[in-house]
Amino acid sequence: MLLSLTIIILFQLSGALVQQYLNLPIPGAVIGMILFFIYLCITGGKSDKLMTTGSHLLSHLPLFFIPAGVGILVYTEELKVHGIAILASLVIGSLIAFVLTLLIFKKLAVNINTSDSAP
Amino acid sequence: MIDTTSLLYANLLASPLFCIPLTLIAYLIGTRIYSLSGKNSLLQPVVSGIVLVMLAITLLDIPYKLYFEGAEIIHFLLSTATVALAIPLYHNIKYIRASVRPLLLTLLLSGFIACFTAVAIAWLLGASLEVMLSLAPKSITTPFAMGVAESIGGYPPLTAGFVIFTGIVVAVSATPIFKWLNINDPIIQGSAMGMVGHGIATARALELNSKTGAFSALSMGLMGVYTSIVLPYAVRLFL
Repeated sequence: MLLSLTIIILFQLSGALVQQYLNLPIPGAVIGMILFFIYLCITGGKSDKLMTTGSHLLSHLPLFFIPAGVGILVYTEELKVHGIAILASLVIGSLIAFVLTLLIFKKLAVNINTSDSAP
Repeated sequence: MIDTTSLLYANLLASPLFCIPLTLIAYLIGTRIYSLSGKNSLLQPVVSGIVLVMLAITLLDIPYKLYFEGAEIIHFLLSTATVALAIPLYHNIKYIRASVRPLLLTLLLSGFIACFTAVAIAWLLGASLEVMLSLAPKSITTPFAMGVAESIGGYPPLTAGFVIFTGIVVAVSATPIFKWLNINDPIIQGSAMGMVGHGIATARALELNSKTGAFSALSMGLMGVYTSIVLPYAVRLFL
């Protein structure tokens, strides 16, 4: 458990190092995810402990968003001035984008599947 | 005498000793409410957890900055968990390889739609340029979004709030929308969740199914890379 957590944190560190060293616009944690993914592909993901610890961590993913999420409190001033525009943009804009994304993928998936299976 | 004791309390309330259990308890209460409600989308632990902590620090008069410093270890683990997202990706690699083409095409369109709808609605309702620029990167995960906001002239802390809120909107609306549109394929569900609702929707996607979570994690990463490269150029074309 502790060893597995240490390994994952070391990938997090490597991601941050690669990000700083190459001055990439990609966040360190995402680079760490890519490096860890490559590691899993090379080793064949044999370590059960590593998988268990990682999955355990992921099962509490919502918890880790709380400290950043509470930060919405700080922006109540901006929300008072531009509140309706911001809320409409975030709620309606995101819902439209979400629905359109689903429909586009559905359409493309059907087209590609049918063109692949066509003789 | 009274002043020193209240100062002592204030110090303790703003320390990890208080902020960590506060966050954990808020989350645990949140998960309890969620399961008692029969997993009602609106009562997801991330939503009730955030609201409960907000209430607590407002009532106890703890400034957000001090709360965040106290709970920073929990925020640190967000990056650790992001690294661990490689696990569902690895487990679902064969599905990912089979869906690369529609996934990338959808990504190209979805990134444009997510930015465009956010900016267009804000513009129609008379938001300032700074607010519109802070809204544009709202569908990508916080570290990406804050960097983009900074480079296009938005206000990064404001963007961080928008990103979180967007994630909650997608996480909460996902299952009702799947039912409404009759979309049952975890690949399509997960990809759209990650593309529009980044990490917060990914947390929700993992709860639905490992395959949904894997596609959400992948799409979240791809959307972050795509938006952070293209958006700064797109903004330069218009301004």
